[in-house]
Amino acid sequence: MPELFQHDFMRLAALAIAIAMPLFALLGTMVVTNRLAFLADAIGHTTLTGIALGLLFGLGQPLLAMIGFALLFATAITWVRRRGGNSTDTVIAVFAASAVALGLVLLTLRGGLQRYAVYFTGDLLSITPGEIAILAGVAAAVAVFWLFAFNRILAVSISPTLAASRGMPVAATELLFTLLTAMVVMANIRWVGILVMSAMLIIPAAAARNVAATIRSYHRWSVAIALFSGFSGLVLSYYLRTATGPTIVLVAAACFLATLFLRPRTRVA
Amino acid sequence: MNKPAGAPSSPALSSALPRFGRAKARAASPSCIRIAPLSVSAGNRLLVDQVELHLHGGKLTALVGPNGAGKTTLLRAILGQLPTRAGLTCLDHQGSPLPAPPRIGFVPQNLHIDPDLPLSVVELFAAYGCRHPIWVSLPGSQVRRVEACLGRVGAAHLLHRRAGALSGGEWQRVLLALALENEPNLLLLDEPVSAMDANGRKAFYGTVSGLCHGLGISVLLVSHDFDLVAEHADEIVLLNRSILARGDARTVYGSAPFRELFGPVWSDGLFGPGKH
Repeated sequence: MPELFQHDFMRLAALAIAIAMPLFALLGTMVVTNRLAFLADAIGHTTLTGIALGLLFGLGQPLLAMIGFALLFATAITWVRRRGGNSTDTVIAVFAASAVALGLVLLTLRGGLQRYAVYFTGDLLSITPGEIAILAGVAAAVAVFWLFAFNRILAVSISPTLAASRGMPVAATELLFTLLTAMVVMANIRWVGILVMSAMLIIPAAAARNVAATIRSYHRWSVAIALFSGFSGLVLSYYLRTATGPTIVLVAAACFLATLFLRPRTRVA
Repeated sequence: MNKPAGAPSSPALSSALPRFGRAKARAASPSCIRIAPLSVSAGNRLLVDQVELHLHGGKLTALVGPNGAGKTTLLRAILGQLPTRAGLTCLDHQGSPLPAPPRIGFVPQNLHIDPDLPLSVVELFAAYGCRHPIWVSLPGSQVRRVEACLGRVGAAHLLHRRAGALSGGEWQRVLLALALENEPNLLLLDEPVSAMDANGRKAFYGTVSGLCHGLGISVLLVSHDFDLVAEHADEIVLLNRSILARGDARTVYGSAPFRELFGPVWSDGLFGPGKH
């Protein structure tokens, strides 16, 4: 075994990456297609609010409060988006910024902000077996959902009107997808970090788009690029002593640049 | 009727039918679909006022009217996508109602697909029509089914092409085949040709009317192409909130409301002294 994987924390980190990166890759394909990058970002930003509210209501485990608040927030945003209108972007921005501000105010009020600064950059090397168990649970849920609902999510994304004419539940599909994204973001935020969360979801899928011509190859490339970025990022961050999440993002970004030049103009599958 | 080279002829259509359950289609096929008098309002604005339609099997009905006349609203009510739903009844040859509601196929207006989305045409069909997760694999039966569907509109060669790379005319044919996939007895088209050039439009109308007559489907088509409508529609309905005129091209284009809305150009151009 290479020297770096003799440490327990490195083995746990590698396990987390093996579970989480394919998860980002799958969800990312539709986050990119639905132009929901901003949503992943906004949900990530509610982390501190969830923590602060959890402390306020005396919940022991911050993750539960974080997920609870993120689901509430995602539902509210989906509702605003469905109502439509010209000011949708503005309303969502107001929602998101207010949520962040509320979290910061509550945490500074109690003088505990420093303790949660780790959530900004993330810390993979301190991940615990318990957190990995939660991550595995979320991954299983996403895998099952993706098997049964992917066609529908894609159909709704291409044309809600056409999907509705085929009797598909458009609103429920959109909401479920958003809630799932919120859950994945929260289950990973402590090791990825708020600042680069949306990049994890977006970049592998965006790079895959540069080379894929079918949905199947889109998924395969996305998973491959995500795993490659995850493991090389982990190794690099170990030797360079850098934050793991952002290092993974940099490797993924390099993959995006590399594939950009492979991009053909017209393709035949 | 001018048939484009790519349009299937009637024998080809009937030979394509067994795979889609000809017996079932024939037995369940209503001779007419009735839309009960329908009114739709938004707030205190009346968008559609007491519109009643009889859409006969194998007949192409064209809905014409100025912008904001309520054409798309009417289609959405028929599709059941508005709080006010249109009452649809299938009638048999004697005019008595059948228990089953009509199966509706729909070709939407201006459906733009993201040109960078890695999605092949066969996957597009599978996303709408099949439960098997397309990101895992595509069952061979599904591929053959889609190929037959595309064959009906002369587009079988597009099966493995990337959806975002199709031309306007190819894309519209794919959407038409998609609308026909679940064997509808009512086909709705909302300005299907707005992204096509003149030749493409002509070919598309030829295909639609060929399918309509060949498969015995009731077709309701929203259009601004008065000349193509005159050539292919069995009935034209002039809508401006309520129905102002209906009948063949000569009757509708010559009617007073039509001349008032669109000027005498069309009626004179189509049925002027030289053409009478």
